[in-house]
Amino acid sequence: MLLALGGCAAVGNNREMLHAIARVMLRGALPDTPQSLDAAVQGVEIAIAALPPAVQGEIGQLFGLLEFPITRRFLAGVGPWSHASDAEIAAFLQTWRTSNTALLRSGYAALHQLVMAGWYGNAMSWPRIGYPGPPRIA
Amino acid sequence: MIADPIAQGLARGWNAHDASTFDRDRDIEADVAIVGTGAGGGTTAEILANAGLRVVLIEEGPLRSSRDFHMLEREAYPQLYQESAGRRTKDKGIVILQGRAVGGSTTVNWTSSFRTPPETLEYWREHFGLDDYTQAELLPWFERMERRLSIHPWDEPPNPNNTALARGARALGIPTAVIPRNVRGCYNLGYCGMGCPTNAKQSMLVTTIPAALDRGAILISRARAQRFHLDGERVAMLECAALEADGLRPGPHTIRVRARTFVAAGGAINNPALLLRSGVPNPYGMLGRRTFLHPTVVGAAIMPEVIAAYSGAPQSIYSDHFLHTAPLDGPIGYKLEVPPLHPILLATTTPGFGTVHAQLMEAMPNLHVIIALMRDGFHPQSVGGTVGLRSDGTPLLDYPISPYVWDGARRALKSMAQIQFAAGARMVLPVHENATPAASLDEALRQIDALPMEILRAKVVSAHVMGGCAMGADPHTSVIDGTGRHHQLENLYVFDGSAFPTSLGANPQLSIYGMVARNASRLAGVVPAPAKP
Repeated sequence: MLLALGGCAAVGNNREMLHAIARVMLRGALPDTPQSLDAAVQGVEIAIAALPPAVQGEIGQLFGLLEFPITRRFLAGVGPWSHASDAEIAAFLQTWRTSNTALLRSGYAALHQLVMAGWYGNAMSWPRIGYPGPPRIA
Repeated sequence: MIADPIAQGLARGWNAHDASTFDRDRDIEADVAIVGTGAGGGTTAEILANAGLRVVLIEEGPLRSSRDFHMLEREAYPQLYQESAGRRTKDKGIVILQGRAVGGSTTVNWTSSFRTPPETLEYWREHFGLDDYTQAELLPWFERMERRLSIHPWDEPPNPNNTALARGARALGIPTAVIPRNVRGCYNLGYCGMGCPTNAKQSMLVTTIPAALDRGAILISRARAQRFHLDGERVAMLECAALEADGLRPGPHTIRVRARTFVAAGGAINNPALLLRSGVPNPYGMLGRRTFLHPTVVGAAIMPEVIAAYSGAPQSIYSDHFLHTAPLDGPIGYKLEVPPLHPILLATTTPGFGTVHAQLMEAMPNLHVIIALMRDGFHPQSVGGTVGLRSDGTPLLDYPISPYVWDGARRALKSMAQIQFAAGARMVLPVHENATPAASLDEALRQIDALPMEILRAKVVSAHVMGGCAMGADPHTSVIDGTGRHHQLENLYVFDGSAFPTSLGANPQLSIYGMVARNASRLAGVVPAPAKP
């Protein structure tokens, strides 16, 4: 039911929401430049575009729920993404991460997978974690 | 400059085509049509092509080669893996790594090559009537494929990640052994999972498939096998969709493949899905059932020394100790190995977010990780999963994790923590959303005892999908017979890991190579001789 509702909500440009979620999910990982957050979100968008249509559809439903004001308020407990504070967003992520409802945990897992893949695939993320990047082949 | 056998073969005029470039429908005729180019399809193609048969290979993924393998996760996962290396079970509880490219999972696997454990074969003989699946019968086939693919125990020193497993296990009196790998002239880089950039890995991509293409086989990549068209008790035609340029969606063009014999070798999720879409006879409802995963849990540790688990042969040490502490049909056993760690794989597997996650990521150079692969399918409470179809016809595996399997997960997390502290770990983190790094073994064990064993809390992964088209003597409990032939369709064979009636208790590639080499060689004598022109 909720998923169906989410599916009806406008899905399209989710950039504001992704910025907000990635900003909090990657706290402590992102260099202190606006370009790094943009790069992380761009990485998420590229990752989504490479997924099979059925999986893209599920992500569209999830994003729909998180964009549609009533479900966003009800399920995530946050107001418009443009105004959501880091604390509000962290509370939402923590609630879903630890929820007794497997469906909410799976929503968190999807966001986690996309944001982490979107950022850590980027060489900008590697200096902080001590990863030297691929070796040169002699 | 590394020689690229694919580029060379294409320059020699291989009959290899990217279906996403087709501008019209195609009709192809062959003696044998093979769906899939992984361990099963590749092995089959070489054997049948060498027997003088006209072979066509259908592959959903792209044809890529060493010149494309840049050791970058962001390129490799979307290009070479099913669902960008993020394929999940229906309830999202298990993440599945499975290849999707010419060469299948052999293009991206970590090269571990084990013969089928004798106790697994014994179980198959007893429970599935596979009387001739004996060690003696299979030995020559394993030896043949070991020679073909340069499989030998890794003779370089293990990298620090593998060394830590050996060291911790030895301190506890737990035996370990060296892993045989299918490599020749390995550079010891550690990037097997992104496609071997030096062609040292003797995957299907650089061995059997080039050999088959040199013998005139046809390869159609980026073509999705949609359905078999049946004519009585035979498959008459295979209908494939040429994919769009994005490699994700079926495009407007169809490829019709007519052959006398059809081989399904698309892997243990895609094979049952193809047969389900085709409406093949399924009188006892066994199709897609008993799909096994070696469900795998993960134990991380921060070591005092640099581990650099992104570097060096990813898997060279293993322990089967915990497969042998209980009977095969007792509490679930598990094989211990280590994974390579690269940024995306590590970041998506590491629990938590924000500064907690960022701090764990900063420990990456010192991170040592063990994985425990549980041997599913040998107990009434381990019946595996079921492959079904989504509304768009693509496959979806439903694999509920039973309390029996969760019990094994908890024991495995404890075993890994014990080994890691014995190896000198400063901190141990069972990979679970509710766990925190523990500074002592007591603390780790107390935590693990209290962790709720539930999906999407405990991290559960799989790189070994098996079953779904189980072989067996009795059609009531299996889909194909011991020769790989479908019980109800006389010219349809299943030659890959989907044939296994249980999991193996070992990384599957060599089991697939050996059993398929045997069955494909038999088929080479069964398939009618090619018509004279």
